[in-house]
Amino acid sequence: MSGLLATSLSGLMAAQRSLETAQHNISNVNTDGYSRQTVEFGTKPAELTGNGYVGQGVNITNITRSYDQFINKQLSSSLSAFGDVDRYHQLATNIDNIMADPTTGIAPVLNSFFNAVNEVANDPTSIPSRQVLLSQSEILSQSFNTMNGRFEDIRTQNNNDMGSMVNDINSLAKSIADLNTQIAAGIGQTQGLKQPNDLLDQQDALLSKLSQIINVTVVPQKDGSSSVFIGNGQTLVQNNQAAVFTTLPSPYDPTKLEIGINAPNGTIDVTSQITGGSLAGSLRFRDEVLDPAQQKLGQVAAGLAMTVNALHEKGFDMNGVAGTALFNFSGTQVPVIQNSLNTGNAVVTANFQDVNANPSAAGNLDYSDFSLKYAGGTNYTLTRIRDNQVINLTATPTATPNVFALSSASANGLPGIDITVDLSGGKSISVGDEFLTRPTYTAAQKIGVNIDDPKKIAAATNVEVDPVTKLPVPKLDALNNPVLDAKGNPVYVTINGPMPSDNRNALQLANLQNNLSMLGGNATFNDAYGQIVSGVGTLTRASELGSSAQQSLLNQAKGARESLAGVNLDEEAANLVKFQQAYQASAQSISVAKSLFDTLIGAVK
Amino acid sequence: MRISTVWAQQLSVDAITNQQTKLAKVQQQISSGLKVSTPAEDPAAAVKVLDLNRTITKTNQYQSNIAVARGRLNFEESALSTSGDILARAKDLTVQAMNDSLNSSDRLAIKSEVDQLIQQLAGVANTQNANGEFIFSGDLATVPAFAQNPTTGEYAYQGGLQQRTLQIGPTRQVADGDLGFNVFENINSSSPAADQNGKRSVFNTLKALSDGLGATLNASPAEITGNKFLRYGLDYTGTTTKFNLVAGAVTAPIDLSGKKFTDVAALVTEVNNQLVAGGFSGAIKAQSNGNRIEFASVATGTASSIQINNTSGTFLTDAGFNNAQSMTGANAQTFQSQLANVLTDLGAAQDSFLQARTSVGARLNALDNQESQNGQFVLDSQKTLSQTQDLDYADAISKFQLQSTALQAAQQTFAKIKSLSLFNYI
Repeated sequence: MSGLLATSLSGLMAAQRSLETAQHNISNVNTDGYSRQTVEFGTKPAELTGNGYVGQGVNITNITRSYDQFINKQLSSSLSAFGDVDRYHQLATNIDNIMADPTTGIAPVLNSFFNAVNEVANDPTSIPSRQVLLSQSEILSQSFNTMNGRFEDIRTQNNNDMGSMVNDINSLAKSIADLNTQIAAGIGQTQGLKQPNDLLDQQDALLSKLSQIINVTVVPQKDGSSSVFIGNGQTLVQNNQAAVFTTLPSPYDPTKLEIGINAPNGTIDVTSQITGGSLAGSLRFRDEVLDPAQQKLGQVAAGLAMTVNALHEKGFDMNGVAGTALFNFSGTQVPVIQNSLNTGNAVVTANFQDVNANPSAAGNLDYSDFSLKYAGGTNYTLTRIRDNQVINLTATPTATPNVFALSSASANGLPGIDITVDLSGGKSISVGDEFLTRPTYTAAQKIGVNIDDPKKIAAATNVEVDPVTKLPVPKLDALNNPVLDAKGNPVYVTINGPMPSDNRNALQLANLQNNLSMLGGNATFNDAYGQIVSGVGTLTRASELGSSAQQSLLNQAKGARESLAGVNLDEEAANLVKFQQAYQASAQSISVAKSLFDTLIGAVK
Repeated sequence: MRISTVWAQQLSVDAITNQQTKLAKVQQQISSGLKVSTPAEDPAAAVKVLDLNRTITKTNQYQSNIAVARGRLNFEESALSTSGDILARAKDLTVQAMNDSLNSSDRLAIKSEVDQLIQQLAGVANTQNANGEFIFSGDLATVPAFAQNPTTGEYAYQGGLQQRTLQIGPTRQVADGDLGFNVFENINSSSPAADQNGKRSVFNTLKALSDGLGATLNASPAEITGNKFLRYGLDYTGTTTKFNLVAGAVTAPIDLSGKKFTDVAALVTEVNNQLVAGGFSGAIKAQSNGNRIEFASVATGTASSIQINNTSGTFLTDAGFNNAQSMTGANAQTFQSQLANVLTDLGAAQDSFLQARTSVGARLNALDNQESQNGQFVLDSQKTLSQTQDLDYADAISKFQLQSTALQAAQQTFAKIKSLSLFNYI
């Protein structure tokens, strides 16, 4: 009889626990990362009687959560992949919008600039039309400055974001390490038989959040804790210890952030090991979209300034004085940064080449940064960083003692810049010393207008013309032979005084709009700018497609996890009904047992 | 397959957001009228739009250059027409003056009208446009094309030697005027009074007419003129340059070494000073002819000759002489033959004006032609631009309707599904 009571009681208990669990599931229907829990039953060991084994009721063996390691792994890798492309896409869209914005685009102001040159060609004596050209030059250089400034804003924003992502990683890693302790203790209390389901869910949720920022490898340990690694094995979390991430400025450029891990003997640079998550998206955006766009913009600015200046310097202004540069670059024309590990103290300087000396200088400009390395003797190597192509250079003495110019064996070997190495005054250079030169990176930021007097616009060539034949008069030497310039072109007689209505140089300047002077002599200035626009557009478009593809993969992974672990309220409602009935039935059994007792006691009364 | 309540909800919400995004996109297209609003939507189209815009602005600039050139050529055309009228009158007067029955006071009356005509013609040749530019001065449009030499009374061309051209099409340039030198000065002449190249300025022809009517029958002096632009002088600081001027039996050595001249007048003064100092006065003199330097033998009634030779240094090249360049002047002509020559040369001058007018007409024609080509090109480019970037409204509006229906459907099904729950029945 007492067996009947105990058996009923076990059913009552089982139903009660099941109802509690169903209620727990219902309560947590909206909890992020929650895995639905189920109560597992087993039969109690039967009692052997003379009649055989008599069942003793039900036993709750465990309360488990629905969990599949494979599905969880897939979810976290999808989160990383999506975090990466989504971040990249968001940032690239910013650049894309800047390019699309007609108020800041370079193309319209470039057109206006050349229109203003045409107006000067139409009316070279008119001060107002010269003034318009000066203003347009100002607007053009300011447009370059503005666009570059917006790129810089995005760079700063991106750096700040990277800083806060690193902080997030650190706090997540700390929380995971803390949970590791609690989980290990929780499992230890039950001799490893029962899982602390809710702590494990929390742990998984934190790992998911971490995966969104950075791609991690999670290795479950025997004590139930999780070890977390990034890249090829850098430990982020082990037991209750979390590593500390930090941002550190690049040795060449303080505005470029690298990611490092604090170690006992200094900081280890792990930038190259960051492969997924939004942090990788930020890094990739910077290297693939932002830097090239800024460098290519600088390339257009530098190429334009070089080409226009060269022609402008060949002409004569309204006062009959030889023209000066129309555009200039504030500060150092081409920054050269010395590697802090250099043992020598040689001073390396770089400048844009003179297009009058080398007509393809603007075409030879490359948007990449270059690394100059001393190889011993008179040998230097210049490495184009974007594709690691090496250009061999030889030092040749210049007019100044101990100052050397670097030249390449091929005529167009140098990327539109001249490099000199100054070893004067006892300065030295050691084999392996490195210098970073960035010809185009800051050009759009630094470009400005060099002249402020409209009369100084060199619209005239002052070349004397035979009024009858209408041909330019060639310059003759004392023996009546034509004088030729360095490249064998005839030199013409120029009039040494103001020719205010001469517009020949202005016509040539206006014609630069159509000249294929950029990108190896294959593109006009507009084409070169167009290539930035299409380049950014293509990358943004690709990332948009990639982002939506990753989004659907992520949705599949989320769907798979939800399908396994998510709470379905209808299911829980059915469970409630089921366990309620079971509870009622067990309660009824107790009532039956009670009436049996009553019957028995009544019989012996 | 099990579906969790939260996920079902999430999927429905995602579907709605998705529809809303598409709807917003179409709405934005409709409100902006553009098919492509950022380069990412169609990188190729974005670049094409940039290219087309550049082509259109560039070609519109050519159109405005054409308008400028047309204005200037029309202005020149009217100046040339006036000049032609003046010459026609001068020719009438010449024919009238050739009449033997006229007495000297009749001739003086004609002379005063001819003098008026000369001044009138000089006025036309020094026409200024609205910008104050002298239209026949070429690239030196800030100085009058012709200036009267105060001593000789002759008009000499002093403008630039290069005619400005304007860009009216991608590969087409057109001169926006003509040099006064070519129109008024460099005119073929059969007269003995022509210069060494057989040319005579229309002003000199008219002056000969006026002088003849005033009964001064001068011999045409021997002159040699350099053909280089010396307006801004010569600089021989630190260099040696010497030459000899030979007039008949007189040889005058000139040494310009180590000297610097800021303009033609300074050079003329120096040469004349050396001539005076050397005792060669009277036979040879230097004078300025606009921007050029001229050496003349001073003739009085008889033929004379002049030559430049024995040079060292670069003077010949700088001033535009040939070595041993020489000229022999003509004897004074009789009145009748002088007038006959004037008549022929006036005819040649009229031809020169006519030629200039024809050339202006041809250029105006070229402008019209290029203008319509440019116009067509802009039209075509705009059409392509519109096809590339403008929205097809019919298509966009039907898309908009489709999207809003889809959004409505998504919202309605969401509401329906949410009302289904087992809890409603227990």
